Amino acid sequence: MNAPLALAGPAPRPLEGMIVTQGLRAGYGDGPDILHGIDLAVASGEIVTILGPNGCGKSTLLKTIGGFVVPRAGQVLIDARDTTSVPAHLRVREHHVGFVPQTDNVFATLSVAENILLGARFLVASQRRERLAQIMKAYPSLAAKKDRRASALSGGERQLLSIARALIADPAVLLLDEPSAGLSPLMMDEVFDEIVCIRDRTGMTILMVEQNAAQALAISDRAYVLALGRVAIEQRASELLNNPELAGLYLGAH
Amino acid sequence: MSEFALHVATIAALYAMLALSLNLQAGFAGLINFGQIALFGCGTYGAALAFSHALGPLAGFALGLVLVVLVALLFARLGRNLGADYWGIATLSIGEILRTIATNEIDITGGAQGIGGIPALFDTGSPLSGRLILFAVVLAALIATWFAFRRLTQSKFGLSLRLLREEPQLAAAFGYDLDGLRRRIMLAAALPAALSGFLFAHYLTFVGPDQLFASETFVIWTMVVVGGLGSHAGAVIGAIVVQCLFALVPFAKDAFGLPSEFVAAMRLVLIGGGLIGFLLLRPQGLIPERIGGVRG
Amino acid sequence: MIPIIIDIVLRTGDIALAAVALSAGYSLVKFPNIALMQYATVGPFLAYLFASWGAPLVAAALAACIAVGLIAVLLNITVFDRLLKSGSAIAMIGSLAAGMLFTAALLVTAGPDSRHFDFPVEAPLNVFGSPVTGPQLLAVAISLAAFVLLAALLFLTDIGRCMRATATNPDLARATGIDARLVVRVIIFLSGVLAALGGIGIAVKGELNILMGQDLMLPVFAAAILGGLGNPMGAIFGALVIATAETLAATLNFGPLIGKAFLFIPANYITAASFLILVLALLFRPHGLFVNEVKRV
Repeated sequence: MNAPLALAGPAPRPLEGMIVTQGLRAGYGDGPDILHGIDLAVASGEIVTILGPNGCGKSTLLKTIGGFVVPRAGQVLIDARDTTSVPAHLRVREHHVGFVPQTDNVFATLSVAENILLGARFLVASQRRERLAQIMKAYPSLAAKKDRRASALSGGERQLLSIARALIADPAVLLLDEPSAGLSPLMMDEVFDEIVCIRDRTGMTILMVEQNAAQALAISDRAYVLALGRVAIEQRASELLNNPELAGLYLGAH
Repeated sequence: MSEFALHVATIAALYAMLALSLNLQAGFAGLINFGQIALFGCGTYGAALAFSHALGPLAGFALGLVLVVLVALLFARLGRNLGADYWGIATLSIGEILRTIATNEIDITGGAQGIGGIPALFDTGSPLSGRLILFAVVLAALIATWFAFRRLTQSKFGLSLRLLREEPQLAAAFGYDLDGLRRRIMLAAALPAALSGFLFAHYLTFVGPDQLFASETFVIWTMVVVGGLGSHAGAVIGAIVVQCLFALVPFAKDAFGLPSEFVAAMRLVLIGGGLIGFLLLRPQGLIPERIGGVRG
Repeated sequence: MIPIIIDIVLRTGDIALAAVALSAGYSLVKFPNIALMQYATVGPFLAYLFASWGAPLVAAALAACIAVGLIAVLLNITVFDRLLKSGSAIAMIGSLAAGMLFTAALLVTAGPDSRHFDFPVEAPLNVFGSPVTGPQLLAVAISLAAFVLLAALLFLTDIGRCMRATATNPDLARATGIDARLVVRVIIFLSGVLAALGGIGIAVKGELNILMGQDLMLPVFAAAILGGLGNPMGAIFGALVIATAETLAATLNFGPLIGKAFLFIPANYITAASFLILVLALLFRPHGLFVNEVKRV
């Protein structure tokens, strides 16, 4: 295993940014550690992608940042505030974290409008109405189906609905777990375009996990590549595509 | 006093057979049978109906077997598309339906009055020696069941039982015939349950629907959980422990001058408390299941 | 015809509240909670106790429902949540055992005798030519009010939306900022309240005794399973089906079907009607009348 390239150095500097993890170790139940000390930082307004082969821990990392996995060691800081022991639902409310899970990411038995409104339930009524109107304007395809059950939506529409549900609370940080999973190529483009659009519109900090490296890097500022629960590469997205080591990691030839 | 001890020992051994049977289903195969007492009832009513039609005990045993095979196959069929908890409710309902039939078909079953006067199996002139011989037979039946079930669960069949309990979908993917497996388990478990009922009928000389209340099934459940789900020795020891505690309740009532409701309440506390206490604090029971006891 | 309909409505009221409670609890805590049947017994006994201390009936009933709701939450935290980690069947056995402990407690404190609430004896009212007593009307009114309130809660309020969301997808609920644990507790509290209210409804128009819960169990399970466990509104429909089947089995003359003048199902078999429906439902529609898929294994 190679030493992490960019972070290798004599004295690790304290990380700064909207999302910071330091020495994060985590795993499930009694099982072994899946993350072996992850240091990561995402600056405000940045789009950062976490890549890596299956089983490298990228989804676990995102879930730990979202509060769904309690780390065994290390810290998670959101906007410089320690949230390590804050439960997931309070991270959403009090630390302005939006989370879009990979699969099962809508409330299938609820209507489209109810799905979106649930994301805003802790806003005051006037604010909620205003935000709902904005969201409905931004996503006319959802607005057209607002009274339909979410289970009736297509895969792409569900992804947009899940994003809309997270956005209505106006989060500072948006975490996306494989937003392109299971989508047709056309829908994929639409979702990635939408992610850029959100950042440009709101200046939101976006961290996503992706399998689809080429398309994700095309819209990202920076990327982390995980291997076996450690950061193997941290690089500017535009440079990473030409990094020969990336292919090696995916092929297991490192 | 020694006669009372013999009585407790005989009942405990009969219940131990029921506990072994339930443990094979629930402990090894994960089949949550809440109608176990119906299998027992097939044996009791087999004996009673043969007697009331002036047939010998052998015919009674045969009748009990026929009944229990039918009920066991029905249980197994219901298990085909039900999860464990749903199956428990289904077996409970069938047990209650059968009890309703036993209570209401007065012309055949004697209704709520039941059928009395069933002769002892061994008429030696002195009732005590007859009961001693019956106890020996019950004990032999218990040991034979124990031995047979141990061989069964140590064989490859035992491995497939546990696979059915732990990973049914995986078992199906491996090509196990789950329906057939369930059928075989239910048949294997039903035989000693019916035998226990048959011997019980001839021991008590009376058979009635009140012996088939669903609460009796949960007495057997307590025995299995206290002893240790998935352990044959545990089932037998659980049966002995619970029966001995039950036998002590009337003494406690007399000693402390408690009202008669106390006996019923105390039985409920022993069953319910035993179940909850062990499930929460010692889920593996007194004698934990041995891991990997399969000889291939 | 009218007396049959009245009988069906009354019987539906008996079964439906406990069935709704069972289904609502199951929607978030995935095991069939048998102890609910005992909540339906403890509820009227507590109400009776509070009333005997001089509380007006409505206040006594309300206090009893709240007390049972709290007991339900407490039992869930201390017992069922822990047992559920070993599987739904184990939790179900635990709930059955808890039910036995309730029965034992009632046996020792209240005794095995039946009681009934004190109502001034009045002439029955005339409903479309059939006599209906005041307490019977009261019981039906209690059920109807409970259903309307529950439906309003589930579909018109924020907490109701959170309940439905958490039942559909607990992980996503947390990701949406919903305190899933709190929602679970609220719904468990509600299921205790509904079961107690159902028991009180039965007790005001008849009597209360410690076997009420046991008698309720299989009809309630049949209703909840027919409606689809986890679907509280479906449970009301399931209760209607069971009540209709029981009432028709009791009153219809099946003689013409087999060419005889008269054939009535013996009264003692009528309770078995719901058991039979339950077995048939489990054989053919284990996930309720409204769901088409059949889950294997």
